[in-house]
Amino acid sequence: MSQSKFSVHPESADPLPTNRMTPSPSTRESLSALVDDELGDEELAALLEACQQDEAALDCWNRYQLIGEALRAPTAVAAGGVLGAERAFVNRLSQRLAQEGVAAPLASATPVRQPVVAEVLQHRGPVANDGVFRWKLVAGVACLAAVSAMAWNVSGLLGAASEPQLAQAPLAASVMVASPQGVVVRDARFEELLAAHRQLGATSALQEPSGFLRNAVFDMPQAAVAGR
Amino acid sequence: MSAELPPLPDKVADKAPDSDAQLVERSVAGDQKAFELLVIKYQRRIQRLIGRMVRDVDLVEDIAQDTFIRAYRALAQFRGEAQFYTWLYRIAINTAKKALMDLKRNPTVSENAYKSDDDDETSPVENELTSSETPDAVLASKEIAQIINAAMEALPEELREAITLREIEGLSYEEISVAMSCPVGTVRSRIFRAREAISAKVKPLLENQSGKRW
Repeated sequence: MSQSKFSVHPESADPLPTNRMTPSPSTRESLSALVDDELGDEELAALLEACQQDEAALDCWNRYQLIGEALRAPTAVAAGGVLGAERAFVNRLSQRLAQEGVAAPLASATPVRQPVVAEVLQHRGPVANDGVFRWKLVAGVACLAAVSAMAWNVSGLLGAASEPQLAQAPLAASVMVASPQGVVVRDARFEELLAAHRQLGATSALQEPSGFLRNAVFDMPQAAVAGR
Repeated sequence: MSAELPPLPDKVADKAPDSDAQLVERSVAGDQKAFELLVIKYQRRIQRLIGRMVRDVDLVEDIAQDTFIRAYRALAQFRGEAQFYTWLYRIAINTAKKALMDLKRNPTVSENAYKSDDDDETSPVENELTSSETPDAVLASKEIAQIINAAMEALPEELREAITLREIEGLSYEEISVAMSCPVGTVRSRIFRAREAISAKVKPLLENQSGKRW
């Protein structure tokens, strides 16, 4: 567990310790300027350093804030809370932050802690959906595998899509053939097309291929006629 | 009347940073005091806000503590795109709702508390007095207001004008220096002295009220 930046003040149990020093005038004036958003970074650094040495500076800061609130909304300044015990509130908060080992915000930015009213839930045993590192690791690997598989498939599809889709067979030249019906153009591709569509093309009522053009021009060969 | 302090060098006044953002930055860097200053600045407002949703005084403080703890943990995520109090306000509302759900209590909620999404100081959620305020709280508020008003009346004119322009009118030091025809350093000094005078009157009352709950 990371080290908490919070320390517990010795007087934390005391709502308002009495033996405090008064902050120096320059510290108080810097606090006044900070209330008004008029303090530069260098002065702020010096002020925070002074606050480390002088706890009473926080009381002074509290009074300055209270004065502003009372001037702006005089009827609500003491409503709903504890007045004069602001330091005690801060001390309790610091105590809790220290006890619970709350790390500095930079180190503990990701998980937001459960509220204390539900603290009892923290004392249960481990469950499957706990934020355990090994589960995060498994989830990460699974995500990576899924993305890789998708990328592989997509690249395969793209590769296939880029190939030419048309047949690469050399074009057969058309041939002019003399037939009894005259000169007929015999194109090999056209012949293939006719052969392919003979099965699918026009069919007779007897569910047999009509034979398309070839049936229409069928003649018994002369040799067969002579042999009869 | 005390002699006026000499004006500060101009370099002190030529910046107008957002003090909340500065304190957040310091807190994220690990400065505990910076976060404590933020807590002191906003805890009364946060407790007033939660007090509108929950009437159990102990629970109000617990939820306020949870709010600041959650805020501290998430402080690095605060990007300064909104005001710090707006961000804190959301955390407080969510923490209060979750606490009430966890405890399965019947939330004694003012209608205004859920209706309002306002984040500013004039939000009715924070400033309207309802039945959730005890007579002691109302009395204490009045007493403080009276003391502060009396202290304001007793201030020299230039101090009263300077702090009024700053706290009530919301002017910057630069604007006040123009309005009062004096250097910015003098404005800063006058406002500081006004606060000191009022603070001296308020301090005994706060010490008497220490730890008292309303």
